[in-house]
Amino acid sequence: MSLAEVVLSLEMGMIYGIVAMGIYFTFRVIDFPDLTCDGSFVLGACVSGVMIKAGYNPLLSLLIALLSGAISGVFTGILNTKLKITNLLSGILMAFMLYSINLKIMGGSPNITLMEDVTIFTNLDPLLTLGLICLLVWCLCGYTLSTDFGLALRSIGQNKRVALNGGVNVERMTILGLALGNSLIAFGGGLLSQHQGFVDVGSGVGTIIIGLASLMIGEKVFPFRSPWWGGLACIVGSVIYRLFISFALHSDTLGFETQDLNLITGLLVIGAMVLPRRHLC
Amino acid sequence: MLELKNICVTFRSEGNLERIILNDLNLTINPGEFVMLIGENGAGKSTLFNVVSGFLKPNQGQIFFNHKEVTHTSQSFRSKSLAKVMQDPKLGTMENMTLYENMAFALKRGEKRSLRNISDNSRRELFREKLTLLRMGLEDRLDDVTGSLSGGQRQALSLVMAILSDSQILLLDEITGALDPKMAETVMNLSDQIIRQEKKAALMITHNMAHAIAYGDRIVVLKDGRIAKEFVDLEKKSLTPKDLHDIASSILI
Repeated sequence: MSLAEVVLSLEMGMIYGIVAMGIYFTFRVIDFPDLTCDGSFVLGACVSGVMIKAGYNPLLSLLIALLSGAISGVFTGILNTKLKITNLLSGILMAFMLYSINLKIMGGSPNITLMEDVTIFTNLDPLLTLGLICLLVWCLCGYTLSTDFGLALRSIGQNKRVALNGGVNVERMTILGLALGNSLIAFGGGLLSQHQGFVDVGSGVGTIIIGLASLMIGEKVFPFRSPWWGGLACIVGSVIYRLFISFALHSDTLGFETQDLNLITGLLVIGAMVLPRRHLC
Repeated sequence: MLELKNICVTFRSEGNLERIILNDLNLTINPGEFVMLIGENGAGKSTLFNVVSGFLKPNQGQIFFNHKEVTHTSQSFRSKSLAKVMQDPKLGTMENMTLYENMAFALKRGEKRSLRNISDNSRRELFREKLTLLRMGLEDRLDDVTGSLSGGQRQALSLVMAILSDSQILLLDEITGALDPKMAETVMNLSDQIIRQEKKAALMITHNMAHAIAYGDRIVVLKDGRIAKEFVDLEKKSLTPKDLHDIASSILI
């Protein structure tokens, strides 16, 4: 593995680390197995890509991508809490519908190239920029979850009955949790589109598995239950995942090829799930 | 103060038959008063709790908390004035959170939850002070996860969580049902002490007749959705658990 490949793995790891933090919000914080992410990830990428193509500031495009992800999360939440559709199906339906919406956003074209457009990485070092963004997102998430509001959000994932007795509006909080989670996922999608220089409407397939793999690997490294550790576990787990995949695909002795990516990822998730889960504090 | 006026709850069963669960029920509990609610299974005790907490809307009647009508308000709105302790200690606390986090959550019951960090020295002092009352050594375990506590310790923690906020009404749902006899006595003594100290209007469901006689100010016997009998003062103290059990099962309305 060359230095350039290590750097690329670090960059990709940090982008997907933010996506994993979004998945941490839904799967861990509010205990909602949300499958919207396969759609909201591409939604963020489409929104950011189309805005850049239209000449908008790339940073602004990321913020709008974040907002679009939040809206998709709100809709999943409404499907579940107001229309009483099961959590799994709400996410699947939303991701399914987002495929058409994403195509519409991209004007019917399945992909957009941003190679010649100005992105946030045009004049900045990608590794440093992504490092700073990751740090900012981690601090914001860690702080939010350590507040009275964050405690209420975590309560619905811990024990809905206690949450209700504590006066938490569980339905509203579920919608809010999904909005926060999907906003981070879409933000990650926007970052990836700018980093890669293209948007593909099919690029969201498997986002949930990659995010979960990162989250689970991270939780093995940092088996602590505090939200600060949880956020760090997402980023570090994602970087380890990317380095591992890069190593596996570039190693001659292992003999893996690019088409084996899903197989390796799946085996990693299984491995992470089989290893006993423990919390140290 | 809790006041229930002419509460009626009916359910429609299969075949569209109407079943009366609570029938014109009237009950008032004053601040600092500890009322024991007994009755056979199906008498309407749990339905009454669900109506008071807002989980179930009555078909008729009015509910007042401190003279303010709350009949049509939501469960989350009522939680500001009302706290509940469940039968299963696991249901009353969040086992993967620390004692501190559980108490910080309970402290803001029914209030707006802001973006203020939960770590706070004054809160820590308050929590330590409240846990010291339990005499279980929990004040030194604020940073332990609640899952590491025994059932009795978790139930005692649930009680403390219930009195942390300003809620004036306390609903206790068979809180000793899952505890061993020694721990059950400890929890009952604690409840009695807390209710008197904090001047809560408390209603407790119990199937333990000895507890119903030994603790609290009044026994209310529920039968077929109505209050069939009440015992206070000397009359209450002169009862034996067997008498009370016989009355609860054989009373006719």
